[in-house]
Amino acid sequence: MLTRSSQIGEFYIMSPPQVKPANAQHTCDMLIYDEESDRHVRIMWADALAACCIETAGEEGGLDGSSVPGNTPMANPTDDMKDKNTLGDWYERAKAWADATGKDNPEFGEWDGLDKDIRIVVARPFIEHLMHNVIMTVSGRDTGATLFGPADMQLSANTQVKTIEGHVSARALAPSTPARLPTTARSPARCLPRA
Amino acid sequence: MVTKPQNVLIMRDVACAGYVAGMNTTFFARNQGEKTYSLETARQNIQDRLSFADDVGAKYGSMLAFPATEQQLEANQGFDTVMSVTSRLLPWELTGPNARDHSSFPGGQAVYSAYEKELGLSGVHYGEDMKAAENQVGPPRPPQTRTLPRTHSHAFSLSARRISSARDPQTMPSAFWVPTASMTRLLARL
Repeated sequence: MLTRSSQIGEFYIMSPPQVKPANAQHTCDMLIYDEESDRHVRIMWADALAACCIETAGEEGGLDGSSVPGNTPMANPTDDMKDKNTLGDWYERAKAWADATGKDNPEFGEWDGLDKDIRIVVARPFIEHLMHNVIMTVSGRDTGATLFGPADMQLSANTQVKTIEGHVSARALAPSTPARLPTTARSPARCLPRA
Repeated sequence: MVTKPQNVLIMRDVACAGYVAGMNTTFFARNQGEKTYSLETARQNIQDRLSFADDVGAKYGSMLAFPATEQQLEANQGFDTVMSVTSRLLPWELTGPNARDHSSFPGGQAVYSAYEKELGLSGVHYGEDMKAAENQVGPPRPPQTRTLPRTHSHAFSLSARRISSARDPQTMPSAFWVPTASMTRLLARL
């Protein structure tokens, strides 16, 4: 079996509840599969928000190191953001959801004041697996041949058309014909220079 | 030696032979041993992961987080099924009024630029064997296509269409020419 390392990526979109729940706790979180531990893991909205590393978060928001500037303009802001379309403005609205659905706030405070269009994208861009691959062929000489055994190659110069021709002779066996005797393939390949 | 290519079928990734890395639930940006985050940590952890700096079986980060809105999902150029976190653009980002922008990135081009600067996302494809990548996508091209002049009029000849799978052809019309975001913006100014 042919095996190669194959890499893919995926992303999830975290979304706050669109309808007011009776108990707000964990309603912004998501559960995703962890292949290394073979279990589903809860991703907290507050953790994902902190992992965005927006300057506005500060130390209180879990930031300790470099970040993206809070005045960076966002494309497609929410309707509530209107003219306030920076990452800092987005962070304030996302932080309000973290406060409303955090462990210490089991009940909603000001539901109407929360921006329901805030989202967080969580991406796993470098998922890597070893994957099997298969090559299938139609049996018979029509498909081609496997060259094996002693081979001979001859090169000749055709001075009239100014090309160099190569001829290969080898023992050939068609795919999936183990019981048949091999035949000699004459000039199965011909190479010509382009200029 | 194949004399009738239509008799040959290559099936890629038909079965999983084993997990390597990248699918746990650790944020790249999380500082080790603490519950704090920074982009410089993310940058280092991404480099460690892609180069397997410790060991192939070691514990690496897997996740990135970006700010987004429902309005971007609803927008025509939104990231409904696919997005690019590297400098490589998606096929439909090569044309249209906002061509050569990371419009599918959460928050748009400005947010991408801010994160790219801190995370070094343009370095993700460094060292990639473009010819090998080209050979793994799409049918083989006739020799005439490979010998086209390397001008951007050919480089952007891809038709804009949406893809839903990472296995679909990438945004590279040829291994000789890979349109990265920085390169396309540079060409636009020429």
